Amino acid sequence: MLTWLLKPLEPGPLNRTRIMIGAAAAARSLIALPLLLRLSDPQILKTPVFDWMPTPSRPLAFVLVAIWLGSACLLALGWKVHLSGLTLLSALAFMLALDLQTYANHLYLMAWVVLLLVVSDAGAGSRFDPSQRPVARWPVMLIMMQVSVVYLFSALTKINESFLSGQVLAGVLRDGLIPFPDSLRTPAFLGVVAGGAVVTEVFLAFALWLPRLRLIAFVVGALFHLTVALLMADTLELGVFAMLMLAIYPLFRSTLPPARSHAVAAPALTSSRGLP
Amino acid sequence: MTLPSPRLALACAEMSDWRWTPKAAVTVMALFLAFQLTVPAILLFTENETSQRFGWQMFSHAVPDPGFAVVTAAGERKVTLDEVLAGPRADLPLDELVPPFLCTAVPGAIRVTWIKGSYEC
Repeated sequence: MLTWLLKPLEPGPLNRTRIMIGAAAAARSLIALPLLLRLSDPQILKTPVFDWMPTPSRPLAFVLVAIWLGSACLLALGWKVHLSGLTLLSALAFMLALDLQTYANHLYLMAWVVLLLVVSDAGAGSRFDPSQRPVARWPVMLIMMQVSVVYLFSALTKINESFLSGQVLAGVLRDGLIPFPDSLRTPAFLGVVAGGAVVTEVFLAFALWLPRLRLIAFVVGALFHLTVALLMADTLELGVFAMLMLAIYPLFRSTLPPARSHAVAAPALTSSRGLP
Repeated sequence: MTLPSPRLALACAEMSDWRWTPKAAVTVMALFLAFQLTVPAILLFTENETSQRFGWQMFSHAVPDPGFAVVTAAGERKVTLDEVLAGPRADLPLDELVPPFLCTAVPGAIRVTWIKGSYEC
């Protein structure tokens, strides 16, 4: 198992994941700007995480977003992934530490994924580093484990009276791109939807790892994120979260061994691509 | 595209050449997994009526509406969260943060009241 974890991988799938993560981070920087500008308004309550952090201001907002956007684009392009990735990570960490109101779970997730992309040397195979040198497998595995951890704890924390009764959904299923039908806004139906959401997240946490269920998990996950992004506000933020999670899905297929019936073909395929 | 500083270029090249030893890789993996499982688990079992940051507690609780109102000599005025916050979140300790702010932000504020309590300015 340990030997397998330390074996290298072909760079292609991670390269595509890096492009999508970079694009998601770039899009998220633009979504962050209005929040940062509003936070710089003197009439708005500041909730600093640390006293020594600078007070939000308009110049700070523009500088932070410029660095964030620039480094995210460079990461997507694969330019000096260690430099662009660590710069993006710094911008995300700054955003998370600036104020309690600038925290978001998907930003926290993005920071971890960017860190692991840097560790895995995800620039290989990009336009700026076209060498098809292999990348480390173990950080890619950690990125995949991160996805399962997010789904699992997201499900476990929803097992409370407030969520399962449909009360939370009644509040958040409004102002989405597609209005939630009022006729379905009943405690009974919202309770069923809430239970379904918990079951779906638990299923995704495990099914992505199982070859026989992986394709179903891909479809269920894509539909789940699409539904959430369309029915709930804020659609753009939820869209970025969906992009982040779905960008990692293909890694489950490319990194893990295929189903047992196809296992014989795997070594030949790997060696034909010149990997040790 | 080239880097502006030769020193920076060298640092980047060295980082690209970095290879993890098996021992370092296993250590990082173990630390990562321990952190990723322990922190959300602790937060999950911490009794709290609201969400907790760093625990992947997404939409697990609704953003509460404490029903803040500012009392001045002219009377009482309801204050919505959107008026005072840039980004209302379920993990914000609103009862601690909002009343002192309203006392300073609203001229002539005498008291801030909400469903669970009140705060003298």
